[in-house]
Amino acid sequence: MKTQITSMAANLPLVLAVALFAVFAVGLDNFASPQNTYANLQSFALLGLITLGLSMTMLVGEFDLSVGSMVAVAGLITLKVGGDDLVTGALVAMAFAFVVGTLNALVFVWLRLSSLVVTVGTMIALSGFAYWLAGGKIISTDNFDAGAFWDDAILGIFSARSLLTILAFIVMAGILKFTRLGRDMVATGSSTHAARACGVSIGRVHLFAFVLSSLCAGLAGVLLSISLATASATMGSNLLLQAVSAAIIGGVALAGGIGKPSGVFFGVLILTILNNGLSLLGASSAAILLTNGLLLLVVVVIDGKSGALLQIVRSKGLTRQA
Amino acid sequence: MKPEIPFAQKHLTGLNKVAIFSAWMMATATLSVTTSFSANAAAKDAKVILLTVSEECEYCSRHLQSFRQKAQEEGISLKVKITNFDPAEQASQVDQAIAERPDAIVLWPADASAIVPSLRKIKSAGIPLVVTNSLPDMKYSKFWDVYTGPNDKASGGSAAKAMEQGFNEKGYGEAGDVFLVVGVPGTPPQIGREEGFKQGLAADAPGIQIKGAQPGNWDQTKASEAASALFTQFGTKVKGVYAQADNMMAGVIVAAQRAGIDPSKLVLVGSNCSIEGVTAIESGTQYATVLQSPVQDGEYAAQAVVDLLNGKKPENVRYLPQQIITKANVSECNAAVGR
Amino acid sequence: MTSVIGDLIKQSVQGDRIQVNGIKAVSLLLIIWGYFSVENFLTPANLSAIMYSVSAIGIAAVGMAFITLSGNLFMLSMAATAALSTIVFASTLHFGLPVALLSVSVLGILIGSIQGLVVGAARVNPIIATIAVASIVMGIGSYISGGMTVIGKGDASWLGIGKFASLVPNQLVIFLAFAIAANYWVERTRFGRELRLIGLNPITAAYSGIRVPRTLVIAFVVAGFSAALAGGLFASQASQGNLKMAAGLDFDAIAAVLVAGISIRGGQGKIIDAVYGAIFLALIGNLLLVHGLSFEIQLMVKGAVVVLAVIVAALIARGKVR
Repeated sequence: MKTQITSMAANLPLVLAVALFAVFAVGLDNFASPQNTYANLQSFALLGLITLGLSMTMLVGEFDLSVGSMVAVAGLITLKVGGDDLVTGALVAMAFAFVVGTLNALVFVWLRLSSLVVTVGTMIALSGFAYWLAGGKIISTDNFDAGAFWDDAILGIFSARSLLTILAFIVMAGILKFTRLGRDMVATGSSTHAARACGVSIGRVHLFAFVLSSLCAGLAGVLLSISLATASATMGSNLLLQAVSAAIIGGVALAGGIGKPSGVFFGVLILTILNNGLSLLGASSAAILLTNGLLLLVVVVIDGKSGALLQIVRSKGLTRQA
Repeated sequence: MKPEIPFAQKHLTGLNKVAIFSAWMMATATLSVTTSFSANAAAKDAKVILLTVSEECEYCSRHLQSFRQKAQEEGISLKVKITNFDPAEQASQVDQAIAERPDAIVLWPADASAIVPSLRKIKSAGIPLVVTNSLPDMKYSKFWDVYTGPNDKASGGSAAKAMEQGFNEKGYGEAGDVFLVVGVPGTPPQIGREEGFKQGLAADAPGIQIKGAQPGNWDQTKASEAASALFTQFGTKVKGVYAQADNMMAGVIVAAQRAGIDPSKLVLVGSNCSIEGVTAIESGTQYATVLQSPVQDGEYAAQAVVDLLNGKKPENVRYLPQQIITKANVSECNAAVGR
Repeated sequence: MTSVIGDLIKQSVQGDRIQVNGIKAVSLLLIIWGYFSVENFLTPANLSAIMYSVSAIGIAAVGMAFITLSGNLFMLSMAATAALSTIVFASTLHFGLPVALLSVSVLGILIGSIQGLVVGAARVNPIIATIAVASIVMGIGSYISGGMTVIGKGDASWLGIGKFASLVPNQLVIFLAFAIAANYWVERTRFGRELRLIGLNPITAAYSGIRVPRTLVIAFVVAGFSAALAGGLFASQASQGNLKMAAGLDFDAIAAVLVAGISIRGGQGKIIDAVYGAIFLALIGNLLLVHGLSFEIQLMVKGAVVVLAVIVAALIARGKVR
């Protein structure tokens, strides 16, 4: 019975995504067209990277609030440093994201603060830095070719950007499944004390999660700025809310220890499909806001309940293993 | 200094071919596409997509209303997509819109710079395009068919004229100190209006000195804080204020009242003819505003798309009039505020 | 038993006074510096400008302090609640100012109690739950107002620009009265002791017979009410309501709470500290403005102050642990 519940919970995002797609495909003329699928995958690419990174911090039982402002800073660095040479800009931006992720983890481990507090600080500092970088302007480049490279349709529905995002999900799933580090992450999220007792290096796990989250957000920012040929200090400011929603819808527990890249994948798809479908229906922004808010609320309430349930299941599983 | 971009142009033609080819591939793939692919469809029953920025701002929703009404009169079948000023979301909405293969797209850029790659995509998909309200850099003007909307520099210039006129009327002569409350730094209207205002004063009324400027971020509360500080800084020496939007001017008026300054003694010049400004001008606390009617803005955009669909070729850029409004002619704002 | 708990609370409170006392001292220094560096700094006009800028944000900060003290971090729906209440305020003003204030209060209590039930009774993560509620409230707001500014037909000048004894703005009087009453309530009543104990350790609190859900619902009701009241103050400025009006209120209230050293871990700090935090931030904001510094610099300085305060708080807490 319990295993049934867990397997159902694990497959729920997939089932929901397929159902949602089917409903819109039947109800809306253009929804299932290759061009609209391409558009859907483009939105997926942006949100997917950020959510993937964020969900890894959630998996180890922490949270990274700074991903939204990281997107803006990474985009600004790409264009400010790179100018028309966007490769250099992108490399510098990614190096910066790496440093920020490391700092997040170090401050978190040293000061023994809640990661929410540390990353609130980083969020504010990064957003200030972004305003300083932008200097009250919108930074743009005339290099549209790079954007075209990442965004031009491949096989009708994909683009280099969306393929890269899908690849990132596959790699992450592999890391979690086949490496020691991946298993340590799940263990840390389930119970830090138990994991430490089993000889897991908690610091290393946290470092990995925060660096990953920062790098994913940074990459999303780099690609966004290249694709828009523009960067500004407010870019990506509302991505955090969507990323949290997508992760939770994708079955990542806020309490940590539960969550799979495959679930997150479908969580992001659900949100993307929903917003695309609503927008094709001509829904007002009020309706879209309401739907997203209600969806998130319902999902967290269920998460609160099933989270408690799953915790019981899991703790039994752990004791059995031990 | 930005480098010139001949190489981008060169690549564009190549890309055009690729895009047209892939568009053709898509066209054969989906049946619905072929029907709407005929060139020069008449406006009646034409499928038009309007991508706009927000419903949660007075100006934006009036713009939308008037566009919708005009489109309805012409028998256009209209679809609207809204972004909440998010350029990333708008870029993906443009992808969606292209996917729907409409007869024309009308676009209010959430960000006049970030929109350029999307404009390029629409162009290479061969869909007629009207850009409304926010003018991208003119060096990309080949990417759109028509721009309709405000001329922010001219708006700032009209505000400078109104300031000069107010100085005379209130007996301050030709010299005195003023300050500015501006919109979100870096947004095109903020830059354009400030530039136009400064140039206007320098040319026609060099005695009127701009002592300071702070952003009010198009927000009444922020504007009132900014104005409070500026009144503190310059005290009673201030003779006039230019706020780049009437709702920010409402904040300036509150700040003046709180600082014990009678706002009707100042030359207060706002912008846009929004309801806050009209009310304040009628009651005499605000001296003038610059008419920029969202209703006209929406109508111009709708007219442009109708002209395009009917096979006419409207001029590439069409500006709204930027008239000075004072108590004498405040009724001309009525259409703008929907009275 | 109760005296043991009482002593425990007293100790923890006294040990945690360093930061708020520091803030008071720095505020005093700022005033002195302002007096010497800015010509018109201590004029009645500028003082009343500071008083106005602190009132609404201060009220929200007091409400936020209830949430932080209860161990539920932050309420991220305050800006949305305040925005909706500016609309409600303006559209009920023709019944008179008391009716407008009453409707706003009812609205705030309603929104607060929903969140209290979701977080306190259903045990949902407060950050996520309040984000979800924020987008629902904004959705409702934009549905009601259609994005338009609502012009109130009535007189709100008593609240907007009125002064008590033609000296102190009525807004400030309301703010201080609210803050003092709230502080007394938390310091001297059973509710306050329970709130603090829940913040210190919710599990122990539940086992020792404390009415956890009830207390949390009350805390959220207070916070919702204060957000709505802040919205009323904003709307009274020009008898207008608009969804954009209270933007940034969440951040300002959080900043006031963090700067004042109210512990993010819950249970430690006083409600009145939030007042000092708000005053401190209003002083800094005013000084940056009257010095004519650019927007980016203002943002960076405020961000840096908050980050610094968080780090200082963590160091103090760490020193105490050792």
